[in-house]
Amino acid sequence: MKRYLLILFCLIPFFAAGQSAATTGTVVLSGTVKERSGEQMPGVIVTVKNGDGKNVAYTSTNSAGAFSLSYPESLTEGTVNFSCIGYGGLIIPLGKFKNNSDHILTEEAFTLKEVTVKVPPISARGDTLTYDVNSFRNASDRSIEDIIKKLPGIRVADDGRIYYNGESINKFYIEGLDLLSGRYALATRNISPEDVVSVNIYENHQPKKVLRDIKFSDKAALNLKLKKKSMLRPIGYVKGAAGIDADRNTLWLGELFGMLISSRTQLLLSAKGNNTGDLYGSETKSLTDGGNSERTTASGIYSDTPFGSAPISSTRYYDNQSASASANALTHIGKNSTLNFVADYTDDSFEYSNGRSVTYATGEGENVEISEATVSEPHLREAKFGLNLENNADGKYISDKLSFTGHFTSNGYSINDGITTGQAVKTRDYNVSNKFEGIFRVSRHVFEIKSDTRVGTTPLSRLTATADGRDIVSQNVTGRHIRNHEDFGHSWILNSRSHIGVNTAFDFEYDTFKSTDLMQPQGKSNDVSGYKITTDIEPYYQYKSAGGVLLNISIPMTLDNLRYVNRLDDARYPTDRFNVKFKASVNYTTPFNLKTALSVGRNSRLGDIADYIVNPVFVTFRQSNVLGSGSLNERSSLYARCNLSHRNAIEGIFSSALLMFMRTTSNRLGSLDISADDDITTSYRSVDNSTDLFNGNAAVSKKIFSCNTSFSLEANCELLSKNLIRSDRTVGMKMGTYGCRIGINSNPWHNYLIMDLDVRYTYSTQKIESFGISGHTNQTTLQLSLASHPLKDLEISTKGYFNRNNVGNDIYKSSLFVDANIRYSLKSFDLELSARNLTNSHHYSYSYIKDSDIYRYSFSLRPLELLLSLRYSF
Amino acid sequence: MRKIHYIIFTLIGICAHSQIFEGEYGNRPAQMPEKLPLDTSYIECIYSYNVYDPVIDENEESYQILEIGKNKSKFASYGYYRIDSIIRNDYPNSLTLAQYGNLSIANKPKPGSVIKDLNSGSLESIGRIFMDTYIYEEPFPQMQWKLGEETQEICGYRCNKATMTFRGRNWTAWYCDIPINNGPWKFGNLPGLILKVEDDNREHVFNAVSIRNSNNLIFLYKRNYVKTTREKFDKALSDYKLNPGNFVAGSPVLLKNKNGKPIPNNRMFFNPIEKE
Repeated sequence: MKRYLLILFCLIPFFAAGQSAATTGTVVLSGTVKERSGEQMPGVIVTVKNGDGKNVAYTSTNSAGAFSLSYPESLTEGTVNFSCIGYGGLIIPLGKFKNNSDHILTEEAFTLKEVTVKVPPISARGDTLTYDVNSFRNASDRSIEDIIKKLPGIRVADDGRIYYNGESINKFYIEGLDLLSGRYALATRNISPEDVVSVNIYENHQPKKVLRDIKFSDKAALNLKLKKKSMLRPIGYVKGAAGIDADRNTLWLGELFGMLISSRTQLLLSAKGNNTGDLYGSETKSLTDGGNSERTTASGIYSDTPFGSAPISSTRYYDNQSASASANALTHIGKNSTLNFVADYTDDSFEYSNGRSVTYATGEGENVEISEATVSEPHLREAKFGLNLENNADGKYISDKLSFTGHFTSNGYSINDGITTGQAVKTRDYNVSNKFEGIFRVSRHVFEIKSDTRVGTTPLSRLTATADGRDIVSQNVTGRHIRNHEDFGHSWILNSRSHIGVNTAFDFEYDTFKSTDLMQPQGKSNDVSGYKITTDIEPYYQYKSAGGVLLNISIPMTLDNLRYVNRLDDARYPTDRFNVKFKASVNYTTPFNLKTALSVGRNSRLGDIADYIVNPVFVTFRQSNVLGSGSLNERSSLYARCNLSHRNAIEGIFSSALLMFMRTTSNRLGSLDISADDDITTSYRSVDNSTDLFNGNAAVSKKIFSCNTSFSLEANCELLSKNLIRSDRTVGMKMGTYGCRIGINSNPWHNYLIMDLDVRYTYSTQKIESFGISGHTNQTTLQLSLASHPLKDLEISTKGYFNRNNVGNDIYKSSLFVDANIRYSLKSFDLELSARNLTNSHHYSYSYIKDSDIYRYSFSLRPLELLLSLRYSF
Repeated sequence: MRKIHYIIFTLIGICAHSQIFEGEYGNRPAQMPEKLPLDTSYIECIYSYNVYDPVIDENEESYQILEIGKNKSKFASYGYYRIDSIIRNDYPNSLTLAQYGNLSIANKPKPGSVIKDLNSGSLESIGRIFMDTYIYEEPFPQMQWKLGEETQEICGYRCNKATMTFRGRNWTAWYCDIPINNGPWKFGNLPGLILKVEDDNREHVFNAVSIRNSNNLIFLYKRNYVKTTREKFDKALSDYKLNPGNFVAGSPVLLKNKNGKPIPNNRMFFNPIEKE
């Protein structure tokens, strides 16, 4: 018995071994795969299939051609398959597979069974830079302008002009139609984000950013795409507000804005009025014109705010009554054409009071100080009509824009400097302009024609002043202006790397200017007229190297022919000049994503009719300007600029640096004289001189994602060296301005507290060695805003602005403004309570140095105000 | 309904036309970046790619093409591929920006690509966030597929099933018997070319619609790609898509919020393909 048990015990290990073999149950296959030549084959797919041909295990050979795979031992019937593109397959039944041996594959042509089940479609619309409005929206956004400000690359200036990548946008569409002819502030400030589904940015060079690194100066277009529910029914809002200020004056505001968009017609109407400090003049200004619309020289003589304006919002110090009305209609006519009609009227009447004290440096250690307290009451009215026709057919684009504008001002001023003087300015000014544009393409040649004609007339521009009941000034200025500008462009694509082209422009300008001193008709007056013909030819060349360096060279050449006549003495001033300018720039992005741009150039400019207006023209009761030196101003400048920038949005780093140097030479110098009666005359003398300007700027910002805070730091420096004339002496002046700024933007707690802090410090010096003058001013500004959304529809925010200013002689003045706001939204209604100037500050003071003179201002502010408003959107 | 679509397309067409003819820039040449050659393809496979975002309940469809060479393969937008072949055929001496714009409108190119280096066993992924294009490198992910029994016909080929879990999603792939270890996006590591792959929620679906021989240059445009890592890129993409206003708040590319306004918690269309 014992012997049998012993044998049993001895056999257990063998049973155990047999058992373990069954539980692991895998078979390992290994080997190498080679070509017929003996070379090892990597990347061959080795599969083990079962009896039904299903894959059970697989691997692929490594770089040495070797493989090793395992399959469950339970698989008794199956195959080992070797396959590789370009070789015939090898199939070995499992039973016949020899481990650790070489397997040979024979070359065989690879034939693919080509199959297409669907062809990817071509779409009718493409990927432009589309921003979903909802993604950028937050509860505080009131109008689409608030959202546009947040879009990457976009900056919105205070007057509503939109800049994309540094260039102002040149077209603003709503649903693809240009309803507002460039006066898009009307739309951006009044259309609710509720009605817009997306904002498209059409970058003119390319809808896709892949070609972004080609051109710096890109004009872009913006398009609002409305929600479906917003089409075909009127959309807009009605708003009413009432309030009271600390002086017990009532405040009121009323606004109505409506838009109706259908497939063929768009209509936009708005009517507004307020006395809370908002002027409407800027809303209807066209923001896509290239700068100012051409007006007569006469219309620019009088400023509406000649006794000073403050660098703070007008809502803080203007007492106003403003109203505006606007109508726009756009309709399709025919297949490819649209017709657009616009009409605007604005009426701004406002008042503000301020004190001004100017210390003029007149010689060695000599100063003249003139102080006055003024109440200014401008009343500005403007009426505009416009008609635009556009045709967009295949291969060509034609557009024509016709507009009429009338400006009417009747401003009153009351000045007290010991004597009370009253001044009144009344002007009437009319402008008509017509812009035609046509673009045609014929294979690789491109033709562009632009023609621009403007006519302006100022029949009345009168300045009168009385002091102590006596008339002291009475002057009328009139003028006319006709301008015609034609542009032709032609470019050739040389090859994939370069192209050349020529731009030619032809400009004709006719001006008349007449100023009459009504108190002394035989005395100081001007009567000048004449024309200027400018022919520009600019050949240019652009080349992009294999390394990605982009080179741009252009040589603008200008021929000027001027013929001006002084009708009073029949003196004639013919001038003919030929000038060659130069522009070259290099752009390159280094491997570490550092963008560099270098540019150098030479510019030159000739003067115009103003140079021959040699008798003084009153601009205020005290100050006259002599607009010209009697000979044509010729100015040329040389500049060099270097720009560096680097960003890595994932790391939250943005940085940039700019250096610029410019030297300008001119044949005239500004001069200022003060008479014994404190009358100021500015004029120009024919003196050759040069001005040097240096500008440096560096900025860096870093975002820390974990606490959702970003820090930014900026420093800049400007040095200016120029000449000016005082008391018949030419003196040299040096000015330096240094500034730095720190910003912190933080939202660490999911909208329960959002903070934005901005601190700036500026220091400026000016020095006139010959006068022994050396002065400096400095200024510190702090802006802090806090906002919170304790509930979804409730917003509480407050904003503080602090400014400390050295107003000369080391006297510091401080200002503190605090505003607060509570807003609650309920469906289509918005209820808002806002308080402005909570500290009831009464004065705002600031000063600055201009040339050798120190200007000190103090403005009276609107008192503490409370305003309750209700807005209904439909 | 159709009438409104026609109207919208007409308006958009006019808008697009105005944009192209506006100003002189439309007539300047489109200077394409230089091409860095990677390999020559011998097989091309076009996939339709559907992404569904359950939070905003929207579907996005695009087409991608996998170009396979002996040493490298590239998976990128079919729109760019088609624009490139049109330019090679119709505009051998360069084309204007306006003409390129027209092609973009018709072909809807989308940025982003995956380039696999079949010899070194690593891949590069290129993607765009905000205004910049980023690139990161990683070794071929270890995809542990479980082979299945079922078969399905896809794009004319009989395919076998395989499943796995990868970076937060459960994927089902259908691979055919063409012995190529490759597939859409980063997928691979199966004994045949993957013709269809989708996750179990059907939020990401790649489906081959065309497979053909080819002999084309596989290239990459020479651009300034910012190097980063996979983790940083995925996180930044998610931050940007879910909260785009916040992504650039406080930086100079965005106008500073004057009133310290709350940052929105609204989001763009987004459903990440890898969740970890």
